[in-house]
Amino acid sequence: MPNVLITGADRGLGLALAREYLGLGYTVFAGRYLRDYALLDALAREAGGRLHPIELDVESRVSIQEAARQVSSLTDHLDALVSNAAYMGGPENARIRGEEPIDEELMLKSVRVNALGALQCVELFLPLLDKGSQKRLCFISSEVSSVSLMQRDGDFRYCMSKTALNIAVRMLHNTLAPRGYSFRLYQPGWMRRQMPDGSLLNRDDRQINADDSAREAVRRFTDSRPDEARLELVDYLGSIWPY
Amino acid sequence: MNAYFTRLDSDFARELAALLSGEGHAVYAGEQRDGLERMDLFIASQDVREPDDDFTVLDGVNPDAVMRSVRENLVEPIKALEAALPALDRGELRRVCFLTSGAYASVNFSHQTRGYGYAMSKAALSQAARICYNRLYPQGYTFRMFDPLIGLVPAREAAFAARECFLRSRAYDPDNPGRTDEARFVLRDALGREWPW
Ligand SMILES: NC(=O)c1ccc[n+]([C@@H]2O[C@H](COP(=O)([O-])OP(=O)(O)OC[C@H]3O[C@@H](n4cnc5c(N)ncnc54)[C@H](OP(=O)(O)O)[C@@H]3O)[C@@H](O)[C@H]2O)c1
Repeated sequence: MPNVLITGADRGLGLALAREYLGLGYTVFAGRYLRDYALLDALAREAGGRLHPIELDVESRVSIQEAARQVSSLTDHLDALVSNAAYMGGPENARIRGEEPIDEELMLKSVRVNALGALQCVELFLPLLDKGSQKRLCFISSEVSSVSLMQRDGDFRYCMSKTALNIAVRMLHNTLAPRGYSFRLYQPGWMRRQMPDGSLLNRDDRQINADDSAREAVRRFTDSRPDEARLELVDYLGSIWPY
Repeated sequence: MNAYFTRLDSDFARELAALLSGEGHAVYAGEQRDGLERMDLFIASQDVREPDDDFTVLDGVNPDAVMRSVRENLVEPIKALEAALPALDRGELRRVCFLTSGAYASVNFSHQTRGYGYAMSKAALSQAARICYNRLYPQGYTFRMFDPLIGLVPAREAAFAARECFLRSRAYDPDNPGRTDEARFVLRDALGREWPW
């Protein structure tokens, strides 16, 4: 049976992706970052040994190295990697001429977690992925990564970090596609946040549930196409976003 | 006109500074910002390729090189713009210019396999600058994202192209108010080409 590693799987989309992959018969290595969320443990109990929570802070190279060691002790290969973990950019709306001066450290953190973290996960899990049969790399980006369609006048930490992720994915694609890897870059839509008890926070009726986005994501993450050289940012409706 | 450069540490920036001052503009750089009452042209001239940023994913990532690039090419220019705003508000032109690289920052077109820190910092700069533009354009600011094509175009020629890009006004239609090229956020290089994001 195939297996997959998902980062940031404690709740929200990451947890929903884990559930979806389990439903297809995959073994799931689920990155655990939050200690006070019990949702992943509950899913592990349901999964009958096919879900392995793995401590993983993608901001820390040492943590990713340790996670790779732990996964290596459980399997000799990885078929797919889903980079989902993200730092949302802090509570206040970072903007030029905002109420607060721009916080340099939080700018750096956004890139370190959302872009460099994804890059280092690929790098450090590559020896396992090389031995997998699928060689599928999936990245959760966002509509806010698009420079062409950017309309916001604030929140730039999170948005720019997703643009940085996109270029890192392009460069990974340049190196790894010729080596048999295929890529998915996904914009999951505006989703309701998941609270510690599993309930969803509804801020707006236009928001969608992570379960629905995850179903569409995993359908795309596990399909195969005749034109795998194409790299596109595709959303949960199947629409293509410009960069 | 008062032109301000965040740094004058490259041939390109020095050539451009000489060109502007030769035309009678006052040129300031670095720390001189704090004493400036009025600024017209803001040029974030950081364009740093860290020597140890030259790895592919197969060689192994150097996270320190990546984060150093991000600090210099992304955080410093945005913080410098923030600090320059009071002087720019008092100036007349209110023009904000960033140096970038189409070949590295364009997610559409990049063929790069090395230089992750440089590419990630410049791509993120595109988005950070775009968001600043969204905020400041309604307040009379205009923006330039410029690729001097370092290494491909001689510094003096690139400086002349930059002078044109930074100071010449972009198309507007006098018969159709609101039909103006300044309302598009674009990346243009020293050969006058536009790059997709
Ligand atoms: N929600 C949306 O509307 C939306 C829209 C577009 C794209 N996305 C993207 O979709 C993905 C999932 O979002 P979501 O709504 O499910 O958000 P989420 O509930 O915050 O899930 C992201 C998970 O990553 C974790 N994380 C943060 N920093 C980490 C680190 N250093 N190492 C490992 N894990 C870390 C988060 O923990 P903490 O909660 O402690 O930070 C969280 O558990 C993210 O990539 C996000 O950027 C979301």
